[in-house]
Amino acid sequence: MKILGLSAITSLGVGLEPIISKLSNPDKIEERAKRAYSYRDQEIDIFDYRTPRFNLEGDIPKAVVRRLGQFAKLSHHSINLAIIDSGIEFPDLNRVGMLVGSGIGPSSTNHAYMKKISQFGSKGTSPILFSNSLYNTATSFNTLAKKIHGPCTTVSNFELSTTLCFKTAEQWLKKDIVDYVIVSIADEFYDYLSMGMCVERNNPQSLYNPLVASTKVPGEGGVSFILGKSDVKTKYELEIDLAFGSKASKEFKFIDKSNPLIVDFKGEQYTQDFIETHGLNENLISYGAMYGSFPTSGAIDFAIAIKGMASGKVYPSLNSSGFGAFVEHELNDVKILNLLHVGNRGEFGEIKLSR
Amino acid sequence: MAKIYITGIGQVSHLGKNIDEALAALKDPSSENSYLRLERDHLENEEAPDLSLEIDNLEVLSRDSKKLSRANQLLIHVTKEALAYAGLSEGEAKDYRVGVIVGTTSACTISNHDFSMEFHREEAENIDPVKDFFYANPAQSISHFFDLNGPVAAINNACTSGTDALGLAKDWIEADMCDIVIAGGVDLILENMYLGFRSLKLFDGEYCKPFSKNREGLILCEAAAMLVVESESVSAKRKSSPISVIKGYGLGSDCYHPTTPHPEAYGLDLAINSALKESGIQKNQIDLINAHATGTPNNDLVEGQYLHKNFTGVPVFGTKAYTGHTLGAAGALEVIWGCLCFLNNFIPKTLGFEEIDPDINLIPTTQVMPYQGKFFLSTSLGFGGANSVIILERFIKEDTSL
Repeated sequence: MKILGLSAITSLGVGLEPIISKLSNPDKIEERAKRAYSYRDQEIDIFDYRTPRFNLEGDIPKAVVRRLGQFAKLSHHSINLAIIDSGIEFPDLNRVGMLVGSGIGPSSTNHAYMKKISQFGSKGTSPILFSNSLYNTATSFNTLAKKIHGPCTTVSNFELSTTLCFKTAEQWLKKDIVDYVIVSIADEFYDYLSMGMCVERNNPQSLYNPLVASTKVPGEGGVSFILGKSDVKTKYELEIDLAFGSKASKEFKFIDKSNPLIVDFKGEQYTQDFIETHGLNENLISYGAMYGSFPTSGAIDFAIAIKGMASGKVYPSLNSSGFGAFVEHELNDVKILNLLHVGNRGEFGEIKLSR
Repeated sequence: MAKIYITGIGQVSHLGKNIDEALAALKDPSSENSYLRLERDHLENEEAPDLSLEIDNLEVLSRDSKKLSRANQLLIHVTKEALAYAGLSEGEAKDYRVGVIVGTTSACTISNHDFSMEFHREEAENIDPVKDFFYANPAQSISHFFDLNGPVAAINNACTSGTDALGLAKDWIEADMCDIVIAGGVDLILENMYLGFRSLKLFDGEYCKPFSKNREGLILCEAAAMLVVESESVSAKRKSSPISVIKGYGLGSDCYHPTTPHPEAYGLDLAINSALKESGIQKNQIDLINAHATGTPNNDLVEGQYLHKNFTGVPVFGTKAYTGHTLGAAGALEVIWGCLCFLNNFIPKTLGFEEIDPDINLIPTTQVMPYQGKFFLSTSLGFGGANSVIILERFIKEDTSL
């Protein structure tokens, strides 16, 4: 399986360029604005990582765009940009598949719909809000807009949707049911879910650090990848190996400390265990401080890794909180880079990128 | 390619709270209770009707002693039945990499219904339960509850999700991601789903009438269905008894309209041909078809015309007048019906079919029939133009004594 193109929409802006640029100049990362969220008498300030406004490219009618939820927009626009990055024109749309992965999906739209129903009953329903509230809204819109006739589905897993989608894409390509697969990972920001995450500790942070169990700074984003068979020519000549585990051992013995390792942790206990056993690993990397804690963040890590590794480069880590040793300078001539995604219950996905 | 077996089945639906009750109801559809009926005024009422099934002793707690969502409680109920059917104890499951895949349209979006309604009316005392959402993913909850050690995923592909869960289970085993997968589907019919479908004007006022000229639309109902899927080698090692072989699975997209199928069944044709190719069999070898047959004018017209033209003479049945449309559970539930056809050598009657539609010309099964065939095909069509097809082969034990 080869990567032909990729792109993202994050709190830093449209495309991967703003991220790469800021990784090269970390001092330029600006502190985000504080927003106050409240529910009845509960109130909390959150430095959330929401995406800036963006315009959907392509020939989608404005009326259609207006009706789309943010989840589908994030997914669709990142697909548009990934296709541009790949430079590909799909020769047979019956042989193109699509996998949309998510953790919380269209959570804000879903709750907006529920709010209308709870307040107005059947008069609060609308076919548009209803269809945008379902997880498959992005897949549905993307296939229609892109005329993708091959296998298309939506996979949800709070922490591992990236690895699961890539593994499924790899299987589709191996079985020769497709020539290309679009993998799109997206999550939509939801005020109250974010508030629920943060209100517990009443200690909102301005910067997210995935290796500090007590920081939870929510965000949103969309990342898309165009994948092809291993015999296609691409500017991203990388091998991808994917592995899963159901429960990370407390010592994380499976980690090869000799290669740089990008980490994305969602579980508090496992975060603590990891720090105790691997906190001094000098090859540790985390980019989460740039875009926050949400299911798609593992896919953004992966996109950054691919962009760098295509030329043997690994961008420096952004965390310098004293928790763990982090790569402080750009690494060059790197042959193997590992990514580790660990979930709340210890389930983990590993991605090995080799040149 | 090594065979992939179904070795365990479990279900709860309007047909019954376990496999035995469902089988009895399918074999004797004469009772008026066989129909899932709603009063016609449900189309006019402000409130959604209560479409939850009555099940004794359903309530279960998670390993964290928290009350699980109703969707996850239904799933645990049917997973226990499927595991028992497959002879896979919780202890034995720890010796294998057991994955979980759950198809669902909405089940994980409302983890706590009562709280959700209070919360949105700003009547909830505090916001804390909103976080339950993070722990409500049905696949992750089942894996955690049974302490399983394999990958997990929820599939949210509208009404094809249950079929897709089983297709993905086959892929996972073939890719050596796990030894066994517990796969199926679940959906609750809460206000969001009921009123959403009603806003699309897709309901029948009384009951589902698959392929019938007088059909008006669908009826929704909650259900859960889970199946144990394992590789040939693991089945041999465990000495489990295969029910059927998952022979092939295919997907295809219409790219036509968000809620209406392609008039020439473009995606369905792609999905069927893809499943046949993977199965290594020809179209004329299919000898039994379970149709998606929701009873909506558009679905049944497109699906019925396609099946009539391409599978002339093959018995076709639909079961949504018994169960209602169970959304994410439907595909998995209907694969269970295929397993029951093999195990009990019968084909169910298509309850609700009353009058031939000349635009379709398909007459589905009108009575319970005997069945000795080998290849069962099940179709699922979903919003967004998703089409999924799965093909099962009857399991025939090889005589190793010769």
